[in-house]
Amino acid sequence: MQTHFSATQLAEPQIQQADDILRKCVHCGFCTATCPTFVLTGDERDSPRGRIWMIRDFLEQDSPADSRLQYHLDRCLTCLSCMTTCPSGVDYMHLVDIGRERLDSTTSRPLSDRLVRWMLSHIVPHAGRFHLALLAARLAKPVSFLLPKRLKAMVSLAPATPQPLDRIGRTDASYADKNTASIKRVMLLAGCAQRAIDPEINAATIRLLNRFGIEVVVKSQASCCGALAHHISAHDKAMQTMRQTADAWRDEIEAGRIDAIIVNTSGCGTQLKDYGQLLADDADYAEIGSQISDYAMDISELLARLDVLPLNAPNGLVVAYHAACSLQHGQKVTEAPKAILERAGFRIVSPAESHLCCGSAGVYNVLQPELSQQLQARKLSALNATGADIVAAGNLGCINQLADSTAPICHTAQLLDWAYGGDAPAAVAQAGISIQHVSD
Amino acid sequence: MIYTPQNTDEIQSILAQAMDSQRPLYACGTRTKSGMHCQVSAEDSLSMEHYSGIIDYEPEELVLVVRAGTRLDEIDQLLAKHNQMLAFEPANLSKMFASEHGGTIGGIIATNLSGSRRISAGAARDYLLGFDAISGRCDQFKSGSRVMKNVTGYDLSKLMCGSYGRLAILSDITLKVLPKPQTVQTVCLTTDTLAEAQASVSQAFTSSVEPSGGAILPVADRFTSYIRLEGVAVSVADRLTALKNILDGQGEVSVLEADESTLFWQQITNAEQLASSSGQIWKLSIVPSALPQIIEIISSAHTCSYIADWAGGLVWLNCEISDTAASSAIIRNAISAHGGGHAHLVRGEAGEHIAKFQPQPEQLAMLQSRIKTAFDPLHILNPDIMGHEVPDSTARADAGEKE
Amino acid sequence: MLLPNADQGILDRRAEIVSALKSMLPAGCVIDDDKSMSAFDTDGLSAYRNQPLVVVLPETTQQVADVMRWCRDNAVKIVPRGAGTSLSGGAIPLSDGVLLGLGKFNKITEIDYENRAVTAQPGVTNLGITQAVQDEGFYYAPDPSSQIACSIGGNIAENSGGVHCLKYGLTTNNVLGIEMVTMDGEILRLGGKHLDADGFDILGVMTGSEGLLGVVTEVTVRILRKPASQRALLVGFDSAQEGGQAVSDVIAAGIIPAGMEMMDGPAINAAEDFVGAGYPREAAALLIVELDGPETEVDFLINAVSEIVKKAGATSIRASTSEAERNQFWAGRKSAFPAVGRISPDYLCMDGTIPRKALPEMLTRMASMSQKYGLRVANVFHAGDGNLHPLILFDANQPGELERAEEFGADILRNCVALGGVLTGEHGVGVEKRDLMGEMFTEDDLKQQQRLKCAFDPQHLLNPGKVFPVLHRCAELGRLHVHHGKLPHPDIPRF
Repeated sequence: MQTHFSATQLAEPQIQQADDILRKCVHCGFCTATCPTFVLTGDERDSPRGRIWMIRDFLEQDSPADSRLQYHLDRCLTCLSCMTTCPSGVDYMHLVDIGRERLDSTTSRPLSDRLVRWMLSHIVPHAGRFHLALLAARLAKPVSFLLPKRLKAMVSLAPATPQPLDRIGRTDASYADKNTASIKRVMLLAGCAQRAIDPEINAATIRLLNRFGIEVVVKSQASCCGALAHHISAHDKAMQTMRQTADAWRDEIEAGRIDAIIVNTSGCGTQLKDYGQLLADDADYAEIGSQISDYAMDISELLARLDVLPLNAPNGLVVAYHAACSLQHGQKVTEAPKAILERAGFRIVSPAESHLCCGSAGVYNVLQPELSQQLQARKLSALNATGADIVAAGNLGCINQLADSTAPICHTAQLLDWAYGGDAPAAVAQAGISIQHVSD
Repeated sequence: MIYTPQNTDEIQSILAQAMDSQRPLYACGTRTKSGMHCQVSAEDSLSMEHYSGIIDYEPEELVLVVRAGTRLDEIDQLLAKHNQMLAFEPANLSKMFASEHGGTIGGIIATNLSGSRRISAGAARDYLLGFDAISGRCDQFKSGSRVMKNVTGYDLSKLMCGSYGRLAILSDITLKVLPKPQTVQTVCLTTDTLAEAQASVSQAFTSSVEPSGGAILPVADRFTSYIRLEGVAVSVADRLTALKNILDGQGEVSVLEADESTLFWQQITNAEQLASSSGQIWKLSIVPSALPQIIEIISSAHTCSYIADWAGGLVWLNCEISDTAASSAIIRNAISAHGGGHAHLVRGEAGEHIAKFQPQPEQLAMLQSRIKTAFDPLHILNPDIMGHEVPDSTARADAGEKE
Repeated sequence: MLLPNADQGILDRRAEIVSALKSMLPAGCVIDDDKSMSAFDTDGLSAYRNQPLVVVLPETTQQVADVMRWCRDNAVKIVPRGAGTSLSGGAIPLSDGVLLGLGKFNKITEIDYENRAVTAQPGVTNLGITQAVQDEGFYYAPDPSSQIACSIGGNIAENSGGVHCLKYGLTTNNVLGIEMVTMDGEILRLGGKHLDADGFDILGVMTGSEGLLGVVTEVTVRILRKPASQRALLVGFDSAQEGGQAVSDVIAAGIIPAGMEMMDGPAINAAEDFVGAGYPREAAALLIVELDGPETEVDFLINAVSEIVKKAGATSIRASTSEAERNQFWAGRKSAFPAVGRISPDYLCMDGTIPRKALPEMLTRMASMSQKYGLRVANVFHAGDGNLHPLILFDANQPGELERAEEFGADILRNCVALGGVLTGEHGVGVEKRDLMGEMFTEDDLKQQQRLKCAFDPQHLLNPGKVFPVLHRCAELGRLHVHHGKLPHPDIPRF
């Protein structure tokens, strides 16, 4: 498209970056077809094309205060489905980052909005605090109808059954199976919300990797990837968090002692793979950021690439694979998770509209409850229609969002761990589903 | 007075004279099926029968340009020489109306008279690429072109097709032609009920055998469905087997080979099974799945024979509806109660209670009337041909402002 | 490319107009702040932007009727909008007009397999219709390249085509019925699941009317059983002449493929760089022929067509042996436009049709025009029906290049008409080709078309400034030129 930035404006690197992205867009509208908010509302302003158009105007006019644009950028899930669809290669992800960042510095939010965002960015990424908050939320469930909209959403999203706080990630530790030859040594991002909501995921991940000779290292100071703060434009907090994580891993990476950084929450995976760009302007962290980007990998990518999983006979269970946006659109990992689940003996089916977000999108389900719940209902309906025995997903946010699925839902890693000798994931065991274990 | 112009200047001149003297015209071809429409309120006729001839034919471009008064049999002969055809299979109602021949291409366009292959290949209106014409205002104008992919300006060709000459006199007509299929065969299935027959035809059309015709004839107490397969020999043979498998167990199956098929579908297209009878012939356009119910309603009130074509979407009905308030509504009410459509009294007199053409809802009728004004404000062309016309009052005012 | 001057009287009454619209539509359906409205200020012809007076996104047919009736009573113009993907500027707003978006009409209301019909609201995408029926083995045949996003209502307005219209026809040949709202606010139903119009084929003339005659609020289309087999041929030629001849030879042999697409050297290489579909880079012309139908028939035709193209001088022939391979053959063609977008900051996608046999001559003329205007052009065409899409490459940020590109485009279209073709094969006239209408039609031709418009919208409130270069008042158009007592052609013999 044509842009009208002055030479002065283009002298600013961020504007130059925005201009490069904007010029690729030809306003063809293909993106509108696969954008969840446009599919729901039919309103051009809630489509990537409309947002791109409005961001262009906003930047050209020197980023004035614009609560209307902020409203529509807030409603964007950042699912990146548009990027998968775009035939022209528009880097929407970074454009919307720029738009949000600049809006935040010129456009004030109402107090309640700022409060909710402050709470989210100061509680969720801190597993201990979040764990306590979940306990409180559970207590509030019976009276949640009295709460204002977003607090009500928060409370409804708290898992019904309390979980202990994950011990993995509390201290620096190294995990390996002494009886198996070590073939690889990887760093695991233990995650933040994950540790409070479902500690089983990390445990299963480590068991699975260890079983095949992959040693896992966890650094407690790498407590959060920074995605949450980044997406709600708490820019400083995001940068601080990213630096802390980078520092926690610095020694191991610079010493060349690890083969990969493994992520089992795809929302974090997309963030880590972007560290190279996000930290590019920071002299002390540009290099380490770039290395983290290179090393970062989803657990399904690692297992598919290493080709260590034995081929199991079909076990008769049908698994509906829910493709998390961050994995299919953000990281373009689409086939690996299905391939390894099939290798483990499960039959894979895909729900209709598999490209559409479930509505979790980080903390979107708290900030935009109406849209989130519509997407949630739509996704649950599609998953239930598959008639599958189990639903698998590679992202905690999705798993939590889709807890009401008729079939039990759990993490891909948990299913693999189970298929290769581990215990059944709690949700699956509760549903009374069993498989024949492969003899060790 | 019957005028028979031989060129467009003459056509224009006749029209101008008619406009000036306020004497409307019956614009027609060779009048082989004038029984289809109502009496035109005009003493003079303008026949296009001498405005005939092939202007241009390019088989490899799939295009034929022809004068409106050209006889259909002449066109068919020419196309057959190059193994091509008018895919919409124009109907020849000469038997129905005891005419000498099947009429002109102009008449087919004016009536949109498409045959059995309409269900798969489209109607005449889907093959009219463009035309030159003289409007009821005596203006020469053109629309469309020689190419299929054309969306330049309004698609007036669609408006002309089926307009019964009420808007303009088409002079030169550009048609899309298609290759003739290499061979044809027809699968016949005899069942006990009309519902079963209809279901079998529907099955054929929703399968992969790609039929190009679907008809049903009542035979004694039973019903025979006919499903036509056309194409290259190997393909037709394969699809025949597939279709027989699909219909297996539904009734007695037989096959009409190429020549028999060709003759059969010609008869269906021309409704020949009914043509020799006396009495009214109605042409119903309905929702195919509603065929059994609609026939049930009509036949419980009247004795009738019929042919169903277009996979059940077209019914040629031979019966006697009396000109009473009670009887006349039966057919059209049955249709509107079952998915909608329309009924045209193709052969038979209109009456106090029987309208030859489907009455229109008021708002639609007014729009049609305004469209008429746009082309023929003085109602010079074929007034009342589809029933009594109420001239649009705004037209009179504008037209009255003569220079 | 000018739009009609805005009526100051309407602009002055903006607040009253917005307020009236808000009173007849639910909250959120009227958009009147500048920043929001700018999201709607253009369509696929994005070089041209125009801020509307106000945007409305109604949710029901009755709301559409209420808006239109009110606008007629208050002489306010309306520009209808589907998905805003028009490449000819059909949905570019008017500064003194209401932009009426049908985006909220996004449901499929009925699927009737037995009668092979789908009823949908106009905002449903073209591909959305196929997706709704594909699990049962059906599809909707017209497939414009923007099918993922373009709306079925928009398809009706433009009479959209696509690769497969060679065999299956355009939108107009696949629409069974519509519900529409006139500028008087009347709701009319045309057609349905039965065939053939009774009375004038208003459905036929509405299709392709580019939003000038009415607003479509519901659509019923024909669905077909998906063919049992689909295979494609990828054929290279040393010259466009030979390629064009091959196309004619295939048709002359009595074969109508499902699609026949051609790309020239520049387009081939741009696509190959982008997608790596395995195209022969040295070929001057690449032909992709798709054949579909029952398996035996397709295999037979693949062989028949292979023989024909070989005789015509093909330098390479590949026949697809799997669905994956067939998709690979198409990958380059389908991404030809964005591929070209990667080798040039901007491009103008033209759309004209010529008789098939004129293809080689047109390409020759195009090469010399490319020299004349100093701009590169890559050609992609629906060779089977002579519909060209020359992609004129330019850089909008270079002063004067947009203007030169447009002149080049206009020149191409004039040549199309001169060679016996038309200005637009499937993208519509819109604003883009409006001022070239005189190349194809006489004043009388255009006036007659405008008289039709008078039957629907005598005040010219629906989408003025599109399609027709000069607007005549209906009263003026209605006058007859018959002199009292004098005949118009006194020298012609009387009968």
